[in-house]
Amino acid sequence: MSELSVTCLLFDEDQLKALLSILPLIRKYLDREWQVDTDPSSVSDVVVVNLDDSAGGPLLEALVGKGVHAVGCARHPRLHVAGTLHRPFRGYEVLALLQEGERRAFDRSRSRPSRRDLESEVRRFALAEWPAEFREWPKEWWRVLAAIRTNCLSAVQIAQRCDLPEAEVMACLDILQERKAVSVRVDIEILDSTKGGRRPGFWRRIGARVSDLLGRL
Amino acid sequence: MDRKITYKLVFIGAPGSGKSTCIGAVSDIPVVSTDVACTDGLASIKETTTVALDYGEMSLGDGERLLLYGLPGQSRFTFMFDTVAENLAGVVMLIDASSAAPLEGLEETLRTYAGRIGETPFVAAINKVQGNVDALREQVAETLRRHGLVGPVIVVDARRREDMALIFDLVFLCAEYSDV
Ligand SMILES: Nc1nc2c(ncn2[C@@H]2O[C@H](COP(=O)(O)OP(=O)(O)OP(=O)(O)O)[C@@H](O)[C@H]2O)c(=O)[nH]1
Ligand SMILES: [Mg+2]
Repeated sequence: MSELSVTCLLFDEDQLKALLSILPLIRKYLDREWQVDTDPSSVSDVVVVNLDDSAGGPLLEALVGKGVHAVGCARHPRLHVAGTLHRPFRGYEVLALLQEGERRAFDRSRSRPSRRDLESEVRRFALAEWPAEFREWPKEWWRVLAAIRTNCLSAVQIAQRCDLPEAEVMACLDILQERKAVSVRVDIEILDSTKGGRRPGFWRRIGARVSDLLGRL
Repeated sequence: MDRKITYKLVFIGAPGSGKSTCIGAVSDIPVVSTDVACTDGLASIKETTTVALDYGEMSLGDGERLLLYGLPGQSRFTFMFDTVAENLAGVVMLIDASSAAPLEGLEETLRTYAGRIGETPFVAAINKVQGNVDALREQVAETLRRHGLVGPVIVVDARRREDMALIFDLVFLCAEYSDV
């Protein structure tokens, strides 16, 4: 996993050094590597603003207003909003701050779709030809063939419809693409794959019944 | 409550392609067949031919039944499709590999029914095969493509239950996972 960074604004050199010396001490309680920077223009995971500098208050307010995870730091924290850190830095406060930063970074990584996720939402597949050798394929893949036989669906939609893991669907689609048996369309619009008339499980049940009756499981 | 719920499966194919055989292989009841003695040139192919339809049934338990119909592929019988359109699970198109022109019947069926078949699960089943069938299978797939249809093309022996089971499997698979 990549490093996270904490940006310190309006602190002097000595205070930054103090923070840098705290980091190794709390390292073992953290999940991620942290680095300190002082560039106000870079997007970082946590920002600490020195409120004892006259510019600190408005700066902090602006950052928080933009949705940045920013906290103040002051010689008299109780004169400021709750959550303001002590200056000079205290190890346990820095630890709590960075742990919170890690938690938020984790939440972000889960909610922000990765490139691959986005791709599997946006690329749509339609079967151009039912492969002649399909009987040698896993039966789960037959479902994929059926799903895109009359429909143009994304891998995510196919996985949902077929009740299969996406990786399984991707494996099947890879083979189909190799054989040029699917056509691929890129479509930014996220369509709803479920048509009104679908009755999931309906024909599967009857098919299983018939299969039973024909003496095969 | 004894509600009779029925689903339908249609076998379409040229005379002699095996419709009656398919239905007979799985039906619980003796196949009701309207076969009559041939009076025309078909007499050389077989002694009786279906002029209206074959009919069989599979009881699925709990009052549910699968109704099986054999329909001639010729265009003069299109009206029959309407009688089975409701609750239709799918269509099986039979291609007689032993016939002199196996694709002719399929062509006529598709010319007549492609629109309807495109709206329903289907299987193309090549029947009565002797020897290598790869070329015919490709021709069948190509014929389907030309009519805008994508679906499984399989080789069967209509007299075997396992082969019938595969046909049913595929029809219900497409019914379940396709939108049509
Ligand atoms: N060798 C072989 N013979 C088959 C197969 N399927 C059917 N037959 C035979 O082919 C002949 C014709 O089959 P039918 O089932 O009567 O054909 P049909 O489609 O009902 O024909 P019509 O009623 O005239 O439309 C019968 O003698 C069957 O036994 C097969 O897979 N292999
Ligand atoms: Mg018959």
